Amino acid sequence: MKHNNDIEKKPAMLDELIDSLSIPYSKSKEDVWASLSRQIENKPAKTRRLNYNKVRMVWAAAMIALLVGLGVLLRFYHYTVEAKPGQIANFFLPDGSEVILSAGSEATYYPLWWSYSRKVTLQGEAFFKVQKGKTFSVKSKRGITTVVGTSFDIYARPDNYRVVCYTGKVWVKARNSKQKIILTPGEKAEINPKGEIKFSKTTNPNQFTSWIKNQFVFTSIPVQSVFNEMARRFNVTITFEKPLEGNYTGNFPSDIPVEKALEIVCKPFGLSFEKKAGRTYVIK
Amino acid sequence: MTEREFKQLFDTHFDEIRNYIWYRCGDGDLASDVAQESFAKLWEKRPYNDSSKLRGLLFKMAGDIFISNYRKKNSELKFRTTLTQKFENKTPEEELQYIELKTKYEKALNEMPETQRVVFLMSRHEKKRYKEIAEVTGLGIKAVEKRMSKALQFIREKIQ
Repeated sequence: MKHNNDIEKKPAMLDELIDSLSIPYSKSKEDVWASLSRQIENKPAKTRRLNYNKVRMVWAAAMIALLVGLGVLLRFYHYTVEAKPGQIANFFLPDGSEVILSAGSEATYYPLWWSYSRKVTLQGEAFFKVQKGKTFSVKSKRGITTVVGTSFDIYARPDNYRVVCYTGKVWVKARNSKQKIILTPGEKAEINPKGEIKFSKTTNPNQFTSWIKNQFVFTSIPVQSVFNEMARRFNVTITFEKPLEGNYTGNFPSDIPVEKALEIVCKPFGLSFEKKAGRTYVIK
Repeated sequence: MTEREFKQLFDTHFDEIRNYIWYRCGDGDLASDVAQESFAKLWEKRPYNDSSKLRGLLFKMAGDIFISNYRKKNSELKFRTTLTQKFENKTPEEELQYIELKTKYEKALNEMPETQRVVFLMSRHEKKRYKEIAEVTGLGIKAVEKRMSKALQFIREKIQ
């Protein structure tokens, strides 16, 4: 009887019990405040200043990173202009200097870095007409040509490196031997694979820019190089049955059919050519 | 935050912070220490948050301090409560029943999972609304309701 009574009563009793319970803390709120006051007196808010410094440092780091990134962008952002075989590309550099790229040539420059240093990397042949200003240099595998304001032609291909000066003064430096030479108008310099500079005067400097005027002008050029140049300008492939020897001298226009041009060169050497598929010619 | 504002913050929230830790571990001294440390840390950092966010921050800090510094040391729970009510209108028999019930209740609290206990005691002891509990513990209201009903069931089973 008593037991049953217990069960019925319990939920109500429990509610009453919970309402009347309190937590027996040994320290009163005031005690805690007193000891907390002592604790924080010894610890002034150092962290606050430290946090400011941290924020400042993070900002500084971010700014430095941004500047470095910007510098890298200015320094290494580059344009590459390419003249495919059979084409001539003409473009202006940021200061107005003109570059004419011969067939199968490539020039790279840094437009955003231009006002700081005028540098062009060249592979192939190009004619430069440079505006007056800071030093202007053209870098190729074999040599570096430096000028202030002038016009000149550079031929930088695996078989030769040749600079011809038209106006002003041109400094030519071989990259592996560090030899240097200064060219004045009408003079040319060639660098051989060993890095030796060969200097000579040219009576007809315009022959080296004949490619601009759709002309072939060869003066004592190895016949193999003549065919290579024709292959680039006509955008064809020329192969040889046997190694060719001898130098070729001659002028002819380059806006004639390729077969006619080949005939002109082949005749004096007693050579013939045969047309194969895919714009390929075999010299016999 | 000025010292006066800090004192006000302490007066408003100290009890509930200390209770919160007590609900978790059942140790009054430890709860006092953790609560004091939480306020000391808040004073050191002096965040720019507005006061409505500071309450949640205090609960969070107290919970973190409790977990990182003390939980491992105190594996044994010891929930002890005191009765404030005088047994004036009760018979000696009823008085005995109350004492017996209190012991059973304390034992139930010890055995109850911590997550349920915190919610249960906040609701029944401090009369916090479910919404308020959800805010300070970072739970959703549905989760609070679920834990509450589980806790009630648990208590009922243990007492009968």
